[in-house]
Amino acid sequence: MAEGGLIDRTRPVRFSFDGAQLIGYAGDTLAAALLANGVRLVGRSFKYHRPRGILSAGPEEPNALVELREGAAREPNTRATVAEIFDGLVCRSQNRFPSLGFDLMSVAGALGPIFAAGFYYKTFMWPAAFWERVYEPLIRRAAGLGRASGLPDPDCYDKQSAFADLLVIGAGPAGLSAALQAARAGDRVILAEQDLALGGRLLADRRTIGGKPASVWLADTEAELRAADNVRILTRTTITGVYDGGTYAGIERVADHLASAGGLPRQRLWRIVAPRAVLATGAIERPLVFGGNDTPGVMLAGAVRTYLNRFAVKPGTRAVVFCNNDDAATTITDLLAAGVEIAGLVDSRSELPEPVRELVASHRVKVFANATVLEASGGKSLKRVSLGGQAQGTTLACDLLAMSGGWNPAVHLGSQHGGKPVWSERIAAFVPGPMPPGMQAVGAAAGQFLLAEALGTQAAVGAETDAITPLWQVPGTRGKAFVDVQNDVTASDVSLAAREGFTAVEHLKRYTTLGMATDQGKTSNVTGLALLAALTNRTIAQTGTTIFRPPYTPVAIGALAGAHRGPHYRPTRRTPGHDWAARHGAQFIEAGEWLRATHFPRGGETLQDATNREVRSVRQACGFCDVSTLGKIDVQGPDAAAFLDFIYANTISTLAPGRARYGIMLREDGVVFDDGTVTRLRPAHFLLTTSTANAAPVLRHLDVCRQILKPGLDLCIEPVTDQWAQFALAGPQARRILAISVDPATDISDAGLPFMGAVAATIAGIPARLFRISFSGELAYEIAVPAAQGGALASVLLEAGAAPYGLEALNVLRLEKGHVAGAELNGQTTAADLGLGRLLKKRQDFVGRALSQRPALLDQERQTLVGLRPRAVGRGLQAGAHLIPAGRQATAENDYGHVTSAAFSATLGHAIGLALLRGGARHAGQVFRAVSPLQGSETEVEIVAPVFHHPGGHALHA
Amino acid sequence: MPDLTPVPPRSIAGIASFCDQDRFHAASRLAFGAPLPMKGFVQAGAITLARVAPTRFLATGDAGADLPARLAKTLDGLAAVTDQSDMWAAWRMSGDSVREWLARVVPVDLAADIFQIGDLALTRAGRLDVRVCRVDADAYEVAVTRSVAADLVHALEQAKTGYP
Repeated sequence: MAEGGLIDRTRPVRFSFDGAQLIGYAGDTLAAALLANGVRLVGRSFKYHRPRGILSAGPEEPNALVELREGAAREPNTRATVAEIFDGLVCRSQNRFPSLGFDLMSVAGALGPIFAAGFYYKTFMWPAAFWERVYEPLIRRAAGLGRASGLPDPDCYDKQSAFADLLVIGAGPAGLSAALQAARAGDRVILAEQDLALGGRLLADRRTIGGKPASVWLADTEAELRAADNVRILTRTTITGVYDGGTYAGIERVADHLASAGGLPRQRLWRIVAPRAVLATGAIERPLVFGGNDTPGVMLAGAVRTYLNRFAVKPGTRAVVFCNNDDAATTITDLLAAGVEIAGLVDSRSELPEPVRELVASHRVKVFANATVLEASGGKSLKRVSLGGQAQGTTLACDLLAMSGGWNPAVHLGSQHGGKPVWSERIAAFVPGPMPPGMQAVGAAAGQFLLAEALGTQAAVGAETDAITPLWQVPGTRGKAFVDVQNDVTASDVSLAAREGFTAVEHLKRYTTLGMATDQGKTSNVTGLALLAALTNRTIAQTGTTIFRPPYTPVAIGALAGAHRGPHYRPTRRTPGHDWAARHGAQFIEAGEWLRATHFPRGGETLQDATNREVRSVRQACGFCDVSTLGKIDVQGPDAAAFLDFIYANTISTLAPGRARYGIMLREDGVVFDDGTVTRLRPAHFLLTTSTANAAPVLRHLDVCRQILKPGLDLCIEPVTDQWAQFALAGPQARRILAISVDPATDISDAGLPFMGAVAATIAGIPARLFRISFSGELAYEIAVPAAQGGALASVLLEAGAAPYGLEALNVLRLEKGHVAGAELNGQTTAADLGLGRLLKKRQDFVGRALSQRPALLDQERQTLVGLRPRAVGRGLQAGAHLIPAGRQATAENDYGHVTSAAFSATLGHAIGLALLRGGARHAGQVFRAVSPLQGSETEVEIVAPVFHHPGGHALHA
Repeated sequence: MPDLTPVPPRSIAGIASFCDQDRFHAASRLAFGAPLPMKGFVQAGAITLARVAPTRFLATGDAGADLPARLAKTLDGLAAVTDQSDMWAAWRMSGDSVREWLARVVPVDLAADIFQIGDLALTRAGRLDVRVCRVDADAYEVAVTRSVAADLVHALEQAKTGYP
């Protein structure tokens, strides 16, 4: 239309639909702009590929789903009624082949009986081998919505928290009134509105408030709210979920309406916390169920008024209004004002209320009372409607049918905590039942459809009426009468489901797909269950509703992820020596939550070459490795020793200050939990190390034990992992290298700092803790310095002649020495399984003691730790391979265990491995097949002792 | 545009009291010349005292203050003192609209009259455990353990981009 509406005619917007270049105006939704350009056919339906147009003007739209944008930014299933147009917008219809106008798949409509409710449960039963390979791809190709781009999402998303005394959800007249009242009372208010503008139905209906156009009240109210410091207004923001503790999720479409985001996030996920909330989400109009009610040109009456009044678009030239309530009859006034011819008002009620009679009389409109529309026809665009009831035999030519079966309060958010909505006979709809704590419904969301009720004031709003007589299905209707247009569910599908026993609403939903997919049945659910109620001789209240769950409308996964994507999906911890290692050519790997150096390749070395060299450097000279990732926990207090005796399976309290000890801790069920060292720094001060992976679980375990099992002990537990950079220095030259930089006052001779000794020292001027501990079997130290000095310490060690080595070499060194690690501490092994049974205290109590004596854990046939060596030199060994006795078939009953860790030992010149083997050392010297079906490899191995290098351990005490 | 600046290294001591709270608090008052805070953080001369759990505190001073060693002596037998000087990486966020910026990172009610100067929150920034202190009218300090410092900077920078 040349004038009117809330669009900005000074700002034309160019966009394309299926390749056609079209023009709209700023303020238009895509649906409005398409209608203004005469586009009525917008998509094809899900199952039958029927031509579909625009049904509604809001977020409830089930039909007009399109693909927006191109390439990686393409988004399928966007509701044209919500999307705003911008210059250069490219959009396409979806679910059609080869084109929207001519869709080969529409033959599916003729196969209706095959595709009836539950068809995929019945039709494609046999043969089973066809399920995944034939039937499913077939169904998926034929049925469906838009296509995902298949490319990484190029947009960025953002999250934000907001707190308020009151959250108002919806900025229609009721929401605005509530926000205004709270704002004036001084409350912190957040007003969230899914639309781009405030006003709700006031933008769509021609109403007056206090004798002036409603737009005046709206402008005044918005101005006052915007001027208030205590009010935050969020437009284009849909509240999608209600969570515990007054927490709400909202999606703000920050840049969806912009041609270029200009650095803005595309969408923002709001986390809103408010002890009180006002549900002012309005109501959603119900379609009527009759043949061909999905034909483009059949539209909800309220949507027709929206397009006329807000967007200045005539959705047709000759209209029929079909309704069962007073509100819809007012559409006639607006249509006539816009110059649309009225072919007639069809009202299913036998007697029309006075206001409706007056209305049609004043406009001299032809009225068909006690009548229905039996069928709408016209294929891709409505051409005529055939009437029934009192008007049986009448056909009206028209290109627009404005229909209304009444309004359903948008109760969804109010029901997300499980409170079932309650049936109201007066308005023939569900109203909110028990609400989430702090939430209250107002206006249409509460079933108060009149503007005077929404405003809650005495302001004169003109005559209004909301009388209704329900009409759930047009009797004697012809053709497909849809209940759920998005999922192509017809009234006969509902009755078929009921006949076949699916009489519970949740069963009906799953059997027919009614109320599924992107719209979640916003225009169809209530009608569907009303039909089910009639079919099963129950009331609608007895039939009940399906469960309401978040999100209220579709949410992009990207918005939920926010900035946490790609490498930032989760935090990555870096060691204090990370930058130093990177500067020295280290290659890194993600190991648990840490980024760790695997090796330090030189001049084109492979991983294996570099690892071999690094292992040899430790065995023959001296190497150093960043072991800062090991968990470090400080335990202090008068009762610290007693507590650690309880935590560890071996005795700790006998440890002298300045000494360290290897310790294992069990879980309550007797299985090994973790291992590490305990150092007594002072009489009441201990430092524990844990494995890297178990740092957090061990800390949690200690806290649980202290607070619950031993609340009477006086001690404190403090995690200090991040405070320290720790390096292992190992090899025959380790003492000589250390001596270069350690302060002369510190005696590091074997007598001064013996094996398992600990001392405070200074190294190249850096205060340090020096531990003489070793996992490689070599003369070795671990040096801990404040984290900021990690790089400096590494430089000192390098300059003194030690070579850096990485995680791979570290693994080989511990394997050569037969030390267990994560693969062996797998949550199923006992101390005895790992050859550590002798460490367990005999008398004193400790965590896991009682259950470690369970018969099943003492079984002689348990899998226990052994070493493995390939029989043929040069053969590799795979971790994970199964151990089968030589000469036997590789079957489950012959599976004696598996290889837990394997590597090539540069020291020994062949592969070595650790394994858990049924019967363990009893098989020493025997030959097993190490079979790896995953890798398709097999190696013959000999069972040996798990310590490969220096079994006597003499180097440790050098 | 608000600013992000790294907080220079400081001397930080973790203090966790043993069971005898009375003696601990008496000794602390002597050591700092002021009582330990019941909540948030206070300034005691050149030392900032923060309460991070019912019986745990952080004392922060200049880099040279050597607080861990000093306090370990003063509070010997009354509290576990740990050196945490290198454990934390902290940034100061300041300037116009700093609250809006921080609200995109932490789920804390930052309203000026609710999260006041001297308040402290232990919370989450995405998946990071963070400590947030309001140090001035338009300035906050955010701290994480050192190993995830790069992740916090990324989260803060990300939250800053694209806003007017």
